Amino acid sequence: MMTGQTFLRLPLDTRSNRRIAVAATYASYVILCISAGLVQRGAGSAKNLIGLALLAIAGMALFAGWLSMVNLMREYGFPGDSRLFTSRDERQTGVRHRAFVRAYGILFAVICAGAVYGALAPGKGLWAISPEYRNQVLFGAIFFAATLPSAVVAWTEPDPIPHEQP
Amino acid sequence: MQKNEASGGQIYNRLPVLRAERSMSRQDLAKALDVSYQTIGYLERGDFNPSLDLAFRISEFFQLPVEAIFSRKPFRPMSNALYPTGGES
Repeated sequence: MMTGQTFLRLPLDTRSNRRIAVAATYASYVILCISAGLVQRGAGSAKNLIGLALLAIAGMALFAGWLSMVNLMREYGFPGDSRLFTSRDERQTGVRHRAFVRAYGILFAVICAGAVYGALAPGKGLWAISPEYRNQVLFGAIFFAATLPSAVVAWTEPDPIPHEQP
Repeated sequence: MQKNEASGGQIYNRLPVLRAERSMSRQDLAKALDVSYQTIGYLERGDFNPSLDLAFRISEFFQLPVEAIFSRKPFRPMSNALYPTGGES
């Protein structure tokens, strides 16, 4: 599986590399948000340049991560649907279905934890989401929800057995 | 992992023997059955039970009845099946 796929030149043929790619993709979104804040605050200064450089790198990593996740799911497609998906393999389709189930579970837990934190944080003096970060959190949640099934597949699929490889 | 996720019981098969008899690689068989080469590995190791559709595709490919390829009980070695008295004909 995932033969020939790369994330910023990192081959995604081993589980450890795929996990690095997943972690880097989600971390790049956080870096993107931080660098966007740096650019906004430091207009015309050195901070601005650093922010712009970080913004470009994080944006590239985020795009590459999203692209590799989309390609990954194409390989685990629904049987018989050749318009979008390439696989007719029932095992791979099963992997995809289980990944969706697991992703919904993770998403539900994250949303519940976020809701509980959001309700309790202001009263306890913890950091609450200020209006200026609301959009970033919202887009982050959408990106997370959209890519989570692919991330689950990338994270959990075992390494190919060496003597079985072509 | 997805060990026999659907049925809960292992289905034994003779795929490695049949493939070896025909000097086929996993890739060749995978190509003929339109599945990934890894799926052949999962099938051979007993980590994945095929659907009826795939089982019939495999039996058509080898031109053998399904029960000659798949069983709920472990198969006897092919040599024992051919020469039950241990080599005497």
